Amino acid sequence: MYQSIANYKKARYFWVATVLTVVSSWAYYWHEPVNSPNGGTWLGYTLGTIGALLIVWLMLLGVRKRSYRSSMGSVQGWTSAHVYLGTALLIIATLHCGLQFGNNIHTYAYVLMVTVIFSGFFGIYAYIRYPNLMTANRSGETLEGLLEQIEKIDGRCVKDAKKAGLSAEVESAVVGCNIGGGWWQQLSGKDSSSIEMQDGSVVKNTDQETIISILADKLSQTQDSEKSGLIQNLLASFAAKQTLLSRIRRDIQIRGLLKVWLYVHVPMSFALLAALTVHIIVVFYYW
Amino acid sequence: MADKKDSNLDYKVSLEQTGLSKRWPSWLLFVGILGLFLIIPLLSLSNSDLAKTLRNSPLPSDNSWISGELSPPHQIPDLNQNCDACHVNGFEVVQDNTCLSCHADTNHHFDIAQHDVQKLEESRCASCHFEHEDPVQIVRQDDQLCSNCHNDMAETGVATTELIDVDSFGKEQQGSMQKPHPAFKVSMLRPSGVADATTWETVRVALAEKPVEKSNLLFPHDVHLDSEGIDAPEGKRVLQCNACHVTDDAGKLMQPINMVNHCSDCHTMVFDSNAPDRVVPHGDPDTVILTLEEYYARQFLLAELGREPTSQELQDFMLRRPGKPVQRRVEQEVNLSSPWGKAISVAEEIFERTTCKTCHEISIDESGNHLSKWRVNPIRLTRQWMPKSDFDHYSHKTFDCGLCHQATGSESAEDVLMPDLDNCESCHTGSRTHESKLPTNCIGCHNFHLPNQAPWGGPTDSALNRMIRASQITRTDESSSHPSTGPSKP
Repeated sequence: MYQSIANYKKARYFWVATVLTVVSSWAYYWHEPVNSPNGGTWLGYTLGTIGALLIVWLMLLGVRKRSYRSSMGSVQGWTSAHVYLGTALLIIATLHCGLQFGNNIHTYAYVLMVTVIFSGFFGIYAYIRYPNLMTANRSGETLEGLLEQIEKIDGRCVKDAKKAGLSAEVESAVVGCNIGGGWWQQLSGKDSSSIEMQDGSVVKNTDQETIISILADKLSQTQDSEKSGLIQNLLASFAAKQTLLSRIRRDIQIRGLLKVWLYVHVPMSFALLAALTVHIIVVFYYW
Repeated sequence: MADKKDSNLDYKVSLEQTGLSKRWPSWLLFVGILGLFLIIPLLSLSNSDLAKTLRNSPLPSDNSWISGELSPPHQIPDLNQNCDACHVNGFEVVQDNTCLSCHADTNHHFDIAQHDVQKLEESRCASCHFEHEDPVQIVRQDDQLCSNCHNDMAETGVATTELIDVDSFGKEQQGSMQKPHPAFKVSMLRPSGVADATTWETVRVALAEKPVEKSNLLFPHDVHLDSEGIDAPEGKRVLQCNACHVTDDAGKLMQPINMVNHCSDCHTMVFDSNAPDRVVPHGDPDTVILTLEEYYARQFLLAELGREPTSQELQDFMLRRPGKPVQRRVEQEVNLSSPWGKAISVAEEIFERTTCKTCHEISIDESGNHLSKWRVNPIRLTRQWMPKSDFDHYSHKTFDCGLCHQATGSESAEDVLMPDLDNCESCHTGSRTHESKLPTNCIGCHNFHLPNQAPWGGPTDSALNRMIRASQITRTDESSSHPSTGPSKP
């Protein structure tokens, strides 16, 4: 996916963005404004116009993605251009403002733009790094497949526990097993599984270690060979579940990281669009 | 178990299943920013009280639109953060009349009655004076400010001018400088006529033409700056330049030199070695004659009476003096036994050979219109040699005067001791150069708004004023009362 975006049509948009950046930088170097470089010189207005048009066009990617019947270039091509021209925008907007910053809506717009661009950079990083990690972690399985395996193990555990007279502990561990959760839990990959003890207290069952420890104790205390066999089955099941849960949590974490930047990128883009609108209107209102 | 299976389906395993959303934060931010930073401040501008209230509230007002600080001179309560004080109408650049409502006294750059320069008419106050810039710089510093017009005055539309086209200052400009700064000219006073009939005019002369200053002063700088010192009443006194040349309070120009403050310590006006306390007054020659006559008449009566004469006796003697009418006393015979003859003899000595003649050009007036036939040609020293530049002695005070003014070798007051362009260029260079010198732009030495020109918003009916009227300026009574000034020559 990443390669196809980066090298789309022999990195056509990389060269477009590079030429745009180099020409803008050369003009900035060559330009000798009356005062210090700023958005109010002819070059400032030119770069500002290019920057504003770029921002609007970059945001249209969201529209293009949803227009499945559109014939205006492939989504892949649009995304490739989005990445490269979005990066060029960082340079163009910086040259536009001539590094003049202040506590005002103009600088807020710049800060929002930088936030959007850098969240996009994280998106690129995520698309380079995480798909491979995700594939390696799943080992050819799907998340749904892994969850089904968990369900099967849970069913086996409940059945074995009933026979071994350990239903209370095991069912509590099964019910208290945590997968996914809120956005922070998904992204951090933390396990908040818990288990209710016989005395009614609820304790952590991170990585199923508490239930495994309880079962190991029960195994050492029992003389009954049948019960001992059942407990050993239970231990094997929870060990397998432990491994599966670890992979599931990592999978959920990676899927989250692949998408979470968009929750910054998209709203901040709209914030930027609003700030850009204010910026353009007020610089001409108070000309 | 069935419950458990169902619960697995409820696992939140993707961000879409959490409370995170892209849609509502996008809307919230878009609408919030537009509302807070544009709609509300814009609406508040419909009412000045409302605008003021908003500006003083924690909410964003039109102050959040300020792209940079005002320059310090404009940071006054009426202007600072009160955007519409200058930005009167929305979507309209700041108008000149808004600036002129405070700066009505600002002068023109040239005589607008003589020249009608389209280029300048098209520029606004804000073309040169920038606000909200970082770094703060209310006055344009670039050479183009001047060279845009002055590099080709004919093209600028000033066909008749003595001004020489110039690109920039400095010897080594980036690229090729076709029109370097011309060598200096000085504005110096030149007398015509003698004595009381002397008239003065200011002439512009190139220093290269080795001009001679005709100030009527006899003064050798070399004698006064002798490292051994000069003869003073207390003995030898070594003079430095600042013994006589002291800058004005602004530290720019030198204060005028005068006899009482700068010369009289050494140049006493004693006329009789027997009376070292008696001096003739510095000023009108007729008064000098009267002083001498009164002194020698008193001496005469003292010998005759054997005592100090009374005032009445002295007055009577003076009035009874024999000979020609009072106006013709200078024609009397020099008879040293008479007090009148003695006075004339001494007057001839001090006017023609010693006291007065040391410093002054003396002319003889035989018309008989004056008590004294000796007339002192009036001295006028040029006060400002380079009025077209804004030189500041204070900023050069760390340097020896001799770096610019070759005074120690000057034997005559006729020598013009002003430095030429080369002298300045030994330290200064243009603003766009690689030379290891002090970069200096045009306004480093020259002013744009010239003090002897009409006010920018003044009553002279120039094209500028027509333009100002066209833009419906309502001028205040105060600003319209400014007189128009004459031609631009200094």
